Amino acid sequence: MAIRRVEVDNTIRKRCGELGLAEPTATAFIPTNLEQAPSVGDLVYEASTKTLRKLLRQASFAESPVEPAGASVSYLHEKAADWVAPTLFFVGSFLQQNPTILSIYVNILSNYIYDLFKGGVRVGKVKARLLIEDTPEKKLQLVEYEGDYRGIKELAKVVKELKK
Amino acid sequence: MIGPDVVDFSQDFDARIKNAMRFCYFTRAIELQTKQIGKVEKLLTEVEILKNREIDAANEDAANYLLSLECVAKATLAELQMYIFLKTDQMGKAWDSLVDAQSEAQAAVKAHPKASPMDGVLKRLSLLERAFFPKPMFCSPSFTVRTSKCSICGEKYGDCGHIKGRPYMGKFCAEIIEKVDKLREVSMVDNPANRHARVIAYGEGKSKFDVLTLRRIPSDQDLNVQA
Repeated sequence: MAIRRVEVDNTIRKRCGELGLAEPTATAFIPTNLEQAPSVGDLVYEASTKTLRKLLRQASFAESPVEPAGASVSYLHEKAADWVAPTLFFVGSFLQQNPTILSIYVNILSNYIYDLFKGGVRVGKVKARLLIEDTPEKKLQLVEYEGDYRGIKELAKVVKELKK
Repeated sequence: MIGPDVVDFSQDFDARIKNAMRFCYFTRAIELQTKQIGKVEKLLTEVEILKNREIDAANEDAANYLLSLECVAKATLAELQMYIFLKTDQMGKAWDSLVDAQSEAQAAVKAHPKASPMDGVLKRLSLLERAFFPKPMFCSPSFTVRTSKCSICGEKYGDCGHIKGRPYMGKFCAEIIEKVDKLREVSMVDNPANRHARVIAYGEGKSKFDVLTLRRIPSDQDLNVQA
């Protein structure tokens, strides 16, 4: 199991502007190729995005797609046993108003993954990424998890550390 | 809610599966294993009839419980078939049956909270895999999908509330891919999502060999000569 925490440039708002996408206001899943996509139609999300969006909707969790409603985007299906969560971007101002939102997301994610891998013998790795903004001017905190599905709850501890 | 008739049926089911499991050993006589397959198929039909009755009555709890029994029966059936294929020198089919048995046993646990624990079955299947088969290599395609639909309601998968892999009224939800955008790559992996997608042959010179039996696979040219 590995949890990595690094600072990365905050280019999300700039790229959203260049592609004519909505600027995230709460949380937003980030397409895998946001940095390189030439247009909205070229955006590719992880295959798990649709399922996670449903789970978030059911939990009344505020996540809104950056692409316009009805825009046609693609989903990347990789048929290895690994399960990859889409990167979730947390907007700084939204986080300040909703300090528990990170923990809520980690809970939703870990409950789903436990359910998914239940009974599995040869289960793959789980990969998850969170992009956490302090202020739009500052760099982003990228928190990456890679490992066994049972370890995903450890993300909650890292998230708590971040809030200190 | 699981009614008393389903509870009674499940007790009878457990006894019949337990009996069938007595034949899940390589040493058991092939004709007796074949007979058991017939018995488990009959049991499976009974489960399906009862499940459909619960679906008609919109009793989701019972329908999902019966789905878990259905998976247990299918796992047992696949394991029995695996022994028959091993004994009749059909190694590719034996592998497929093993994978089916493992998948159904895992699905049984997901179908209902009251499902029988399958840890013992899964552990045994895992040991059999290592004892009977060489370690396979698998092919894993990566592709992008533009549209997909929900197997439960038929709506666009992203629009409905059904979650893939979860049971709904006696059926598992699946995402049905409708339009593939691009095939990006095919990788060789040792832990794929689909364990049926294995490498079946390797080449040496102009010949191809089956990875399970190491037998030479007749080429089209060989087959033409025979004809």
